[in-house]
Amino acid sequence: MATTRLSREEVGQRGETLYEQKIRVAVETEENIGKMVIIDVETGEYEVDDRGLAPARRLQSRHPDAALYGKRIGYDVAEALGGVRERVAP
Amino acid sequence: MMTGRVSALHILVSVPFRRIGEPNIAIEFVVDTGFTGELCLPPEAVVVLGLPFRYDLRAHLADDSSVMLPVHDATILWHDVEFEVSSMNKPEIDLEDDDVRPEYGPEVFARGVRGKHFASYQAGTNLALLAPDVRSAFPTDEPVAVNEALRCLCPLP
Repeated sequence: MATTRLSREEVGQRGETLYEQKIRVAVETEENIGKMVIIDVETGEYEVDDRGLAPARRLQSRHPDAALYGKRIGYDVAEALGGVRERVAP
Repeated sequence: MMTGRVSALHILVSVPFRRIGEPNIAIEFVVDTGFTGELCLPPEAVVVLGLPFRYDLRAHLADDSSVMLPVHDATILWHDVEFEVSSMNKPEIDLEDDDVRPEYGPEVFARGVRGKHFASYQAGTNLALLAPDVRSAFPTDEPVAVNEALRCLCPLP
């Protein structure tokens, strides 16, 4: 496909913007805290699951070149390598 | 049961990666805080294993910075059972920027004397740091005076 790939940082920024503007109100419920939401940053489609791989595969089956961003619902970052991820949801 | 080895205080476990139509490749991992379904691989290993890319995520690092990391799909053998794991590329850390903190200037290291106590240790001498008030009672660095004083306190044979 002749699309220009977004940089990793751009994927992150678009994903966070979409999450704040549209997705948070729909998914940030107590039972979803700690789950992964995978966001197609070009179409705005998203899927929630306990882990990120399965929803990412489902979104990629619809759009094979999709630029996907993984967000841990209710947390500032999805993973912590040596640092900590902090719950930000009330 | 999984077995591994301990090296330099790190727990190392060898994890076989499944490859379709090709032999498994085992990669040794350091166990950090327990296995939660994610492995961290160098980018070269992701290429060699041909792992499909899935999504990007943001991760915190120990120095309180955060980076965007690509997540790939992998199948490993865990307890001899196939198990799907997400595999993150190790962040590429620029060692030029990972130098000594600015508050530790070169003068801190310039004060050090390499091998200052090496000869004493080799000679079997024990070193003990004297408290300032004791030190003032022994104005020279000659150990004879200190030993004489301490002998007075030793019980007689």
